[in-house]
Amino acid sequence: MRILCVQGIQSSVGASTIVANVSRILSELDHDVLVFDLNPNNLQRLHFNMEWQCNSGWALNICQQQSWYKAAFQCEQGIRFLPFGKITYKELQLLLSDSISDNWLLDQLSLLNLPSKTWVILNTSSELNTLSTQALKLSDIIIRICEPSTNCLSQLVDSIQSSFINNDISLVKKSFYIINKLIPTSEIDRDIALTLKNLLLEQMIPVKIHFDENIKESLAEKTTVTSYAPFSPAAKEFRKLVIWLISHFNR
Amino acid sequence: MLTKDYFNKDTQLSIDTKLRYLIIQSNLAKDWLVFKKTVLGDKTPLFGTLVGIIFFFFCHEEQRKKSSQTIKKYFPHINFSESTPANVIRFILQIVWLSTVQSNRTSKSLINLDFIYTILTFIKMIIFFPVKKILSPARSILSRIETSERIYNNKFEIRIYLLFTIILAAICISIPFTLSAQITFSLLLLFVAVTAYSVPGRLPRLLLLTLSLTISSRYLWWRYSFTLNIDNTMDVVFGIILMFAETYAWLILVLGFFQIIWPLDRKPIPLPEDTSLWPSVDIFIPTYNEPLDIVKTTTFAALDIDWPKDKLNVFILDDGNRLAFKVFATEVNAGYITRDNNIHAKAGNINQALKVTTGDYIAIFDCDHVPVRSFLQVTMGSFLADQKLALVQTPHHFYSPDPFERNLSNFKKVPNENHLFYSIVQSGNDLWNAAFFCGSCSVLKRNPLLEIGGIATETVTEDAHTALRLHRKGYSSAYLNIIQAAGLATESLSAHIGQRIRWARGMAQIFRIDNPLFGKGLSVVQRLCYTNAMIHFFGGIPRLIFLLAPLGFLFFHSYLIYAPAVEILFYAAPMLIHANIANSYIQGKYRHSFWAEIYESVLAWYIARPTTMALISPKTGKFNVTVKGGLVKSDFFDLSISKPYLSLITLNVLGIVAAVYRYFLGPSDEQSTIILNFVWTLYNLILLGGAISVAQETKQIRMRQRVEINTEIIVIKQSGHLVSATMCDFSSSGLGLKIDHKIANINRNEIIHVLIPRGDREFIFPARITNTNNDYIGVVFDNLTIQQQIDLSECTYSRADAWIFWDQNFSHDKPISSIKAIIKVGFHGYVILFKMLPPYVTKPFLLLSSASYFIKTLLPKNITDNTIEYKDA
Amino acid sequence: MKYEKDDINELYKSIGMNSSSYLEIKEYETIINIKKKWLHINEILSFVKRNPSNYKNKGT
Repeated sequence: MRILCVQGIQSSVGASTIVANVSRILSELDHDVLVFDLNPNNLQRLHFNMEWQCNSGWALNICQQQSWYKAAFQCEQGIRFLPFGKITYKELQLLLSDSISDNWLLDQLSLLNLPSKTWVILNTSSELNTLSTQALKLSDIIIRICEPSTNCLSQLVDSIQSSFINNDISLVKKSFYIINKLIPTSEIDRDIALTLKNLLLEQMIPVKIHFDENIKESLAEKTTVTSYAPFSPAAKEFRKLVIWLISHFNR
Repeated sequence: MLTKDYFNKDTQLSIDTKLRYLIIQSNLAKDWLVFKKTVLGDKTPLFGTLVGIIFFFFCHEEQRKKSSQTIKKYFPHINFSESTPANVIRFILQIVWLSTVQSNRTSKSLINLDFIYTILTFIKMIIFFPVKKILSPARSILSRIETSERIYNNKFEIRIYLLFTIILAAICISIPFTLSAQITFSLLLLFVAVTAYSVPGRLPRLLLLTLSLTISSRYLWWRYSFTLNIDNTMDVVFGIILMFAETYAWLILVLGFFQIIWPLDRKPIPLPEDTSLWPSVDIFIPTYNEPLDIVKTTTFAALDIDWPKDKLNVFILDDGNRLAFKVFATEVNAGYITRDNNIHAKAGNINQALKVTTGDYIAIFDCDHVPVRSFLQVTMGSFLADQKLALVQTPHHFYSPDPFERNLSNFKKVPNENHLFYSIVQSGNDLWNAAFFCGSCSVLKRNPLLEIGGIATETVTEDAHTALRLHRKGYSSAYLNIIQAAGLATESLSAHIGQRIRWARGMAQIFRIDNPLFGKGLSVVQRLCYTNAMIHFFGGIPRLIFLLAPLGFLFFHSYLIYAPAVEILFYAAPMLIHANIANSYIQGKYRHSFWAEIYESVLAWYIARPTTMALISPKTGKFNVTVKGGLVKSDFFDLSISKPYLSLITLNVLGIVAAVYRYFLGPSDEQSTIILNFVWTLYNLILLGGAISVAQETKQIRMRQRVEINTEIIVIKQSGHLVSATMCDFSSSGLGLKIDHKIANINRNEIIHVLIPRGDREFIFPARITNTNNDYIGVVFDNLTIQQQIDLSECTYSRADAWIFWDQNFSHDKPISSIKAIIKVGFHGYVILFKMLPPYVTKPFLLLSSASYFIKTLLPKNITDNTIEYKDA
Repeated sequence: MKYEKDDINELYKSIGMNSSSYLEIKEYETIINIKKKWLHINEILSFVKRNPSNYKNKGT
């Protein structure tokens, strides 16, 4: 099992888009993939062609005292997907405090009896909570997504200075950064991208994902950019990212 | 476990896909329809259908689906939708060709012909068996000696060997042989040479050089001792003239071998990590009358060189005193230096700039030589490592074809005239600390330069003379064979010849006023290297002698070489063969056999006079500047420049006539001599034909030469959509991109942005689409800011790796195919001449040629690419 | 994995050398410019311990 944790430095930097595209390309390359949405905003489902009014998800199932894994789907390309589900704020608080124990995620994943080389992709919220800290610790690699903005730079420097959570060096070592939504024509974007690269050096994944209308349009079309515009730079960039990931694990 | 859910509705196939699925199913009939459509189009001609059916139903089963590709590949010259008799002939010939000669390539993938192939290889083996049997042990012995290299500590031992070698060589050279002994001797040596030719390494290299030296010395010895007919005054005069030329050729051969015996492959030396230890560098861009555009490109690249800003100063040295240049220099924050005269041209220009600048080092770029950004970091390390070093030279590379390459259309196919000098000769010089300054793409240390009084101004080749002076003062030089700048080649043959005349005159001047053989401060080897560089330019007269020599006999019945034809053959031929084998071995990738003959034949007439004049009176003769960046607007034949060749051709053609006359009407004991001279004349005619081919100027299509590149870039449409594209060429004003413009939906005159990544950085430029031609899209940049122009330079001309792959297409020399190419070029020259005759003469011949062209289309074609693409039909 | 086709790496590879001694001076100067240009970025970055190796070409 290769556990991959995808986390935005802050919210809405495009983590779910990256999860969707990466999982899709991996499964196109005949890898087994499980996408596990751990983000309470429950947005990952939009990328997997789920009907909008459908509220189901593992968290909802737990809240409704059902077996949570019944919320799993298998998509047309063979990707296994667990949406978070639509739950209320109160339910979320309860869920995080009561139902999710310290090793909950690890236990559940081992229960699933997945094929041996499955990629488990965890869409993790940028805020720290019981779930996201578990995901960070459990994963083999953390992909952290930055937007070239001053906000993001500030957040990033903060989190590096404190080594994320409680100066956990192991987390620092396995986290890699990628720039998303880089607007090519924007001077400040390019400047921050260069600054980030010089700041993070080897921790920076050598792929930048540019801001592309195709990505936005593909979501509006209920699909991923790799199938919406397979020859677009964005699709190529996602493919490069996957190649980097695979070679990272093969190292 | 995970459940399968309603969620996968996408798996439902559309009707269209289902249909496609049905067709691709190995249904023979459906397959056939697809096949027919791709090969024959909509027509159904009888012949094509027949062939198709045979082909389709009899090929391997797994071939069937891709058989349309296969048939197009194996019959590239046949259009199956036309049933003409010619196509039938083509088809039958090609089948025979594929199944016999090319059987090993095709059998496995197309039709099972293993049996025929086995027989063919068996026959081949029987023929070549004895040769292989002897060659391979000889080779293995050679390579074994090569690996067991010995180090001699004892100087005495070496001297003994040396003495022994000299005695042996003296014997080999001077002992007179009978004809049969000479034949045996030369055949034996030839066998050794052929063996050594295929073994790489130090030893075979030395062996080949030694063999060639021995044989050619022997030839010269024989010439001097036995072949002068002193009874006849005319024979003596002509004989001595020829002997002079031969001695010159021998001298050049010896010195050349010596010079390139072991090229020093110098590597850059890393600079210290602390940049405060790096010296300051001034970059000089001298210009006189070149257009601003050319200077702009160079200046932007110079400004972009990776060197600390406070230690890098770029100066435009404008000898033309032009306001626009001054304005430009201020705009980009570069220095502008001018003077009120232009005495001593470029040398004077640089010397003037030396007075007003202060950098520790000076990098000089001719205004069209665009440096790459790594230039200084690659070159400067050597200076810091060696305090005595005063000069680092890098190759001159041209990204546009020189007149030879353009007019013979072999750009990037055959190594050009320059290539040998910058790849081997300078590296060879470097071994002896004699690499010299070539005027551009080089770095000089200021103090030594000031010590010798700046750039030498006494001659028209200030560069070589400056280097000579530095060497005389005990400074050393280095040559880095890494292309770190690229420029424009001379644009026309006349300009090219003009440039060579200047070099020849300058070198002769130096030879006369500051002869490297004499004077203080040089080592013996340095003297020899410089001498070779200079007397190399005296080759004009000897070359003319060779071009006319056989006429001495054919016209005047004079025996220039007073010996029986067979003897001449067996003394001269081994010499020529050995020299060619040795040269081909050493120069292989950098100059193909026989091309030097063409280059020299073209220049011979033009450099003969100025070198002689400069030798007699070094001060006379005006300085001519090489003009670059011009445009040959249309095809034309440069008649004025080819006049000398036309007269030489006339003489040689008359020689052929005389040979025929003498053969049939003269005494029969002379016939062998006549044949010998006839062949020689024919060879000369081929070379002269080559010179004519070069004089046929081919039109230049663009003012700005486009440079090929292959990089992924991104096009940003105004709508915010990104399109990935491949940059396939660039010039200073625009790019050529490859995009499928139907996918990209890009139109002419559309305003876009182009994003060019370079490693982990990326640069963006506003641009406009100028043309869309299928998937090729032309893009120009308008109104770039200064910074953008510098960045653009960094993404194109100044990429550190911009020129490293340019010679990858050159194969190692193959003498036989080189001969073929030379003959072709020579023949082409006569075709050009012929076409200038009046039509009533040419018309019948043109008919004949088109007939032969038609026959040529019938001949079978070689299939070189044997991969079969697996695509659905 | 490095960025594809870094020109410096390609150049040094072609002559059989390691490019680690190459300093990306222009890039370094660009970053200094960026800090000059954007106040906030400069402020944030001034809290980061400068990594000595980021002046270098990290190619191998």
